Amino acid sequence: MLLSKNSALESKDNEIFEVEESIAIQSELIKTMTTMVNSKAYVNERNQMVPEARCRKQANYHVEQNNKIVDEELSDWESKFFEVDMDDLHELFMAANYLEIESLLNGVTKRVGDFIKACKNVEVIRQTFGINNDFAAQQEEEIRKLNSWNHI
Amino acid sequence: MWSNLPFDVLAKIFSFLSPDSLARARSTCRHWNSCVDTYPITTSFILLSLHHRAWFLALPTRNRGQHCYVYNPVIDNWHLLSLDFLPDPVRPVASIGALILVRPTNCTVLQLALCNPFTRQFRYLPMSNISRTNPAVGVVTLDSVQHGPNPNFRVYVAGGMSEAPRGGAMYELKLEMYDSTDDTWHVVGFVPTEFAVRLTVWTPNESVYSNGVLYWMTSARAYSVMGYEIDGHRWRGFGVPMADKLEFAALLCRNGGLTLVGGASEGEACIWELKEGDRWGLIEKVPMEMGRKLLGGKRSWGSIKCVGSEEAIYLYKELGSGMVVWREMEEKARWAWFWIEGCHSIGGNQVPNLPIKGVFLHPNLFPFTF
Repeated sequence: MLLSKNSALESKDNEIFEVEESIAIQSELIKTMTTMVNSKAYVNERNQMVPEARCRKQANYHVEQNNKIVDEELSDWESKFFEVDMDDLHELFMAANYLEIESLLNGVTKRVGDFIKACKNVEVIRQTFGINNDFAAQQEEEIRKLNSWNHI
Repeated sequence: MWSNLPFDVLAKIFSFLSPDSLARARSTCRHWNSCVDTYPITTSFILLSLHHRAWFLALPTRNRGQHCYVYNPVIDNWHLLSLDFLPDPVRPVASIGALILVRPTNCTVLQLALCNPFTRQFRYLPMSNISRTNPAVGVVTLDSVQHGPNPNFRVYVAGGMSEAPRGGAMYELKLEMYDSTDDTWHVVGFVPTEFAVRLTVWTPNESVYSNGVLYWMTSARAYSVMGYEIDGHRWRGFGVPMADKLEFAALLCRNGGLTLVGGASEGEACIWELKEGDRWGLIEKVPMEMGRKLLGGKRSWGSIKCVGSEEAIYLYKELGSGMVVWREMEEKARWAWFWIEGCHSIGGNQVPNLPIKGVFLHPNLFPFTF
């Protein structure tokens, strides 16, 4: 059928990536699509080149590491991989969610969780994530009462 | 951008957060707040992560109903938690995941209720079929913790006194069970008279469930244990080591097995585990210096209390006296001793040295809907 076990993935901005099939199917979405469309999958979303390359790198790494049990190396690599700014993190997040790559999604959600944990109070969380306080006055009072034990 | 992530993804992020971080996150905006209130956060991470150790809730035994104090073992911090949402002062009976089963203290007849002090919710259970005073109460949690913060459970009520057919009171021999899956009480068996008497006269409310058996222990010397094997409807009784020398004794469940913690005046406090044939094996002793620190110069263990979760055992006295803790480390199968400072002040305000009753719970901000 095909000469190699590679899939060609095209992102929305017309960049084509050749990816080993075993890596491509780390994405549940691509897995489903390839069984339908045979060897080419069309990635039809706001996936710019950068997140796509990162996704591919990470999936690649995971497949390689499956043979070795080098937990420290993997977690070191992972912490560097996720050391991006909030905008990039958001892109990674949306990509991982859309492509349904579970391991990547877990890594990103954990990183976001770490960011939240590091925030000492509500205002810092809002600033870090660019969130607006849209509570009505009464609702804000209810929340404050609910959280009065958490005064730190 | 971040403020309108879909709920399923947001809940995944939230599942990594400790209760205090989650409380802060939910206060940022309406969307994040709604997520906490409407999307159950799966607790599959709970048993795996240090960040989800059970918290120690200290309920004052006098002046109940205003506040309680809660110890967060992850950041070694005490919090003041308001109980003004309770309609009546209560005494804790057992913890069920994120909830506490309580009984109102102003009622002589047994009535039970559920409460979550973090969501400020309180709900009475329906009254049992038979009205009784001073029964023993036992709780069995049905689902594993992985199923969520509010698992299904059963409550067993045994002993106590009920109204006799021709007036006066008699020891109640019918065993009743409440099932949360259908919110109903059922009569499920009988209690032999000798056990009914002991359960009524000599038993505190706590029971321990281990390997299909509900255990209760008498509340004073000479300590002895009663066990009800649920499936076989069988009752049995057996003794404990140094039964007439122990000045305090408590039953708890550790690693799934029945465990006894007790202190005697001349010696140290010890921990035993129940083995085959209802025999006790000594597994650990409380370190002498820590025991002495907790006793605070007194020689008697009589004022010491003890409570346990799956991964920790706490010995405590009053709110300010400090606690001696034996708990499971991150590398499993290793347990270590720690001293925890008592609660003297919160947020700059001094806290009185109140006598307390301790109970563990896994705080959860998701409202329960029983």
